[in-house]
Amino acid sequence: MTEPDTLNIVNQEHTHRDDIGSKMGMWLFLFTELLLFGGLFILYASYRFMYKEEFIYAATKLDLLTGTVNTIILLTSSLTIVLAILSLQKNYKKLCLLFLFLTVALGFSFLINKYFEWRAKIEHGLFPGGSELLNTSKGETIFFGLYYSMTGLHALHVIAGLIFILIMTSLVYKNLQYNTNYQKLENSGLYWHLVDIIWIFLFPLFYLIH
Amino acid sequence: MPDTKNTEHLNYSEKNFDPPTEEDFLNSLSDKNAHQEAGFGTYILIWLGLISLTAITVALAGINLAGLTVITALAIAIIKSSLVANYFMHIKFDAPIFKIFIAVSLIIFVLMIVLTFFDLIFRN
Repeated sequence: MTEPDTLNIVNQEHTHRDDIGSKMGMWLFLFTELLLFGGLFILYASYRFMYKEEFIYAATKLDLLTGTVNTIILLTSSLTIVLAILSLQKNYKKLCLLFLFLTVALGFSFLINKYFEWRAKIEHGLFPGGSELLNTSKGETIFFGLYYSMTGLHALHVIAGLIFILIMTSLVYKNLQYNTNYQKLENSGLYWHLVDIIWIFLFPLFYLIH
Repeated sequence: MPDTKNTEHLNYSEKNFDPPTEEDFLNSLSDKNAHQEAGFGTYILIWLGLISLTAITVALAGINLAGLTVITALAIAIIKSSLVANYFMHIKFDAPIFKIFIAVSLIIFVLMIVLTFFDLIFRN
């Protein structure tokens, strides 16, 4: 067996950078996120199997409009980050920065929406240990426990994603990410899309089952 | 020895072409061609599709579908997430290794769900 003597040719032209390896690493990380949320989804499915009626009744107490608006906000932010990456690849730096700012703005409006949604629930005593929830059935308590932990963990991921995108915005601004070197921005985009996909499943399971 | 099953390789040796180098291999893995296939228009169309599917799933939630409510909602969620993964996350245009990655982790995840439900359903 002979190895082609080309191993040293590839990296001579540029400094060490392995974009495919970087992307693979990002995907492997995303799979650990799948298992993190997957565990909670299995918990949800099991409890829903055990307390079906209570879950359906508890879901009517969530605000469908807020949930729908937040879904549209996240889907649109997924579009703006993918357009930001495409703009950078086509060397439109200003357009890329504009789309990145739009993504950050949409991410923040998701969080603001979430804040008002949670505040309204807490004011009605609908939180673990709250006056309203103590007087309801066990299934309903579990539903709201899952609601707070799953949407809460998701909101933490939105915050993390926003931090990554803000860092990427400064990298693009400083010309450290450009049309032939954009893997860091693309990895942040992958993370943001994963956060979007998780919400795509959270939305029907909490807001649409009544 | 060249692999006899690989006809491309035979062609290379017959015509005295250079065998594929590592650089060719790396190029074949990268998604350099992806962005010619997905432009601004494609992404906006996918986004419109995602918004329409959201409208459909919300509209369907208002109708009483009895036992089918959760299944239809989840089916739409699966369609939406596969659109996001294929186009926004570029999986459609990426090398097969990324599709294998996703298939393996999804199979593991589904196995976890199935095994959990075996326990739940047959517990009593």
